Amino acid sequence: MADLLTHVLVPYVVLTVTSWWVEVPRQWVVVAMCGAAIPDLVKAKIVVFGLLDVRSVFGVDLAFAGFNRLGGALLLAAAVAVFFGDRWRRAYAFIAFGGLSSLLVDGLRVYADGRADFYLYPLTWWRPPTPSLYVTSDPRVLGTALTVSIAVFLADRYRRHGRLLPDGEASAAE
Amino acid sequence: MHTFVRILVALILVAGVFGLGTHYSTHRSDHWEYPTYEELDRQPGEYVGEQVFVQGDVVEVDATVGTGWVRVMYAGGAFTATVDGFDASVRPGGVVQVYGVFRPGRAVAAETVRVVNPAGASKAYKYVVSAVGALFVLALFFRYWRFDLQTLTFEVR
Repeated sequence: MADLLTHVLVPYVVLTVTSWWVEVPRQWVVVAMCGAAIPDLVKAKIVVFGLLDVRSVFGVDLAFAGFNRLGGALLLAAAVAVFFGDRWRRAYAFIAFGGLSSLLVDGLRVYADGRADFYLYPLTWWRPPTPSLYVTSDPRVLGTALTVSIAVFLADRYRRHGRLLPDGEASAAE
Repeated sequence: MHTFVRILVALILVAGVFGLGTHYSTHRSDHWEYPTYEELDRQPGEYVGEQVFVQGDVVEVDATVGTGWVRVMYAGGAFTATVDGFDASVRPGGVVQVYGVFRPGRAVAAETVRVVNPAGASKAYKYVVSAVGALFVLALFFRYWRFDLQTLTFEVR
């Protein structure tokens, strides 16, 4: 899987660019970014077990495996969405969008036999082909994500304000 | 939705995720088309000539003869695979994936060697970047949202 920072930047870029044509409120973009972090909770076991200084607790580590699979991501999105009150449907859509974008990004990473992991579980045990585009440890992955995000951030700011700097700084510079 | 119902629904969904995860973990090897690491370790003779896929920590690399030694770990043990045709640039402590044909002596004639971590430090890099990402997204979220403890609902600030 790509690193968590790259994961959350992907829905930021996609939804911010989308918002140039269709209205996407900023607070929902942020919800999708959080959604993108949810499949990475699969790694929470490293933190939890690391702190407890144990390798596994009653097979709990096995149970974590569902987090970054299609079914698990969709269920977790729902578990979080119920805490958005009347807006749960919209919350679900954005959280699930973020989660699915992370799975898609993960599905592009290197596999020596050219096929990705069982990301579509439990829909199917079929391993989709992967272009083996990247390995997470390659700093160029994060570098690309950051560069594109900053470009989109500045372009978005320019579209909204007609200038790259926020009003305050711009007027201070004048 | 009533607060109690909301918590109940969330708990059921989370239980469902852990249930799926357990099912996934116990059935994964049935669907994995290659021998498991445990099978390769316990009965290596049975899989000679078969296509295998292993991932593990690089112990040593001898670039002059194109051989690498990879420590393959599984739940109940570990073994060191000798990988011939090792053409990847990686330091001991790094992680590689090897796809190839199994040979006697727990060796693999590699068709493809892909570097997952070029060195031991790569893991720390991933964790640090991910921790920064987690803090960033949490801070951003609570700039736009707040949690109402009374209704257990996220509200727009």
